[in-house]
Amino acid sequence: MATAQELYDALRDFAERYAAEPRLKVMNRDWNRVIHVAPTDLEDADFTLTLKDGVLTLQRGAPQAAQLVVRADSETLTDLFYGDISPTEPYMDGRLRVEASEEDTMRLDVITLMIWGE
Amino acid sequence: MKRVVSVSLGSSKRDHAARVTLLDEPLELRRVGADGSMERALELLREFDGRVDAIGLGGLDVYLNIDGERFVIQDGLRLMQAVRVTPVVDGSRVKDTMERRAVRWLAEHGPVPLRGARVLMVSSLDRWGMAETLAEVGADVVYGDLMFAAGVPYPIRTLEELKELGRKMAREICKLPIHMIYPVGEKQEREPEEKFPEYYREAQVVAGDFHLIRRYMPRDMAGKMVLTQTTTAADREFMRERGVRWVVTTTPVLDGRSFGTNLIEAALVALLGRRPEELTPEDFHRVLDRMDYRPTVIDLQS
Repeated sequence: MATAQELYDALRDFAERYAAEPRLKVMNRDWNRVIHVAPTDLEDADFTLTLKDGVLTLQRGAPQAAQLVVRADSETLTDLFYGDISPTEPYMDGRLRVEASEEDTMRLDVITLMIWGE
Repeated sequence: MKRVVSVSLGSSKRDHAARVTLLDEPLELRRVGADGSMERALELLREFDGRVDAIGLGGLDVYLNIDGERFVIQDGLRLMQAVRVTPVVDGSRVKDTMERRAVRWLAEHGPVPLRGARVLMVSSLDRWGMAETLAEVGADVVYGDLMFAAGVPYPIRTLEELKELGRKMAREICKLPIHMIYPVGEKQEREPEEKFPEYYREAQVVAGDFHLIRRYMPRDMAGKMVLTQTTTAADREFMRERGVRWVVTTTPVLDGRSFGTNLIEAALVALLGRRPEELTPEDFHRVLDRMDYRPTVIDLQS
């Protein structure tokens, strides 16, 4: 199990890597979304990733409304946002749940692959 | 007579059987669709395994080749592994050889000069041979994989970037269920929904998998050329109504019928009596030479 601070650090690292890849800003310029990162095993450790005009920001706390909810145990989420694991396997075996449309799920997948793909 | 079957994830509405002559030998070719159901496809494969001379897998690729590096689509592999006795192929190798030849032929003899032509490839990671050869002959290509497969408004404009992004994505994309990355079953029959129509509009040539081209095709396609694998009479009527001028199909025509690359590759395996992995691009070239292979160009507006 990861701590809330570890998960926050992983998300901050993810947001920094996102900002360092200028193509992501272009790719997501039309994709304004609120993403709720919801660990299933931690109390009061939800986070919000907001994509607006291609820029990704991170805030502590759950959003009032989100188009995507990413739910998993804190360890899986931390590993995922640090790029230690890819989203596909936990998604396929049910450890990771993405509550979103298929197209939004695919677009989130593309972001992680742009950052972490080999 | 040797018997070859293509089990396709596509619609059963396209099922057909035919007796043809290939390399001077008679062959029975049959295509059976599983209507997008993996389970039905598995059933069909088990049913034909050991009872025909070769099997082709249609409606999905098993292997993606990106500049010589091979990636395996897991759902495709699952289907392939269900076949224990009969040689089974997905057509990707013959597709690569044939589409390179088709583009070179078109560059010399086609109705649209490809050098400098604006080409939209709706999907290119599933046909690296075509993508690479279009660039080689000097076409100005937009590779639309991110746009049409993932909805990302990012046209890829160079082969180098396609290779870089393809490698970043392919390993993971290949693990997703096939329905997330390719229209299968009834999705192939749905009314088209325009997607990135401005890229269709700008293009003189729209190339790639026909189901994808069709799925996002705008109403006005006046004067354009479509370069794709195989089409039915209904597909051609659909394009004619939208103003498409020429359709070029890369799959060879045998006795007046066009067959999917998986069926052609399976037929070659059956006729040559060799394991699929023993066949080389040179074997495919030799056979295509003997067939006097060239793509089929149809003027839809004449």
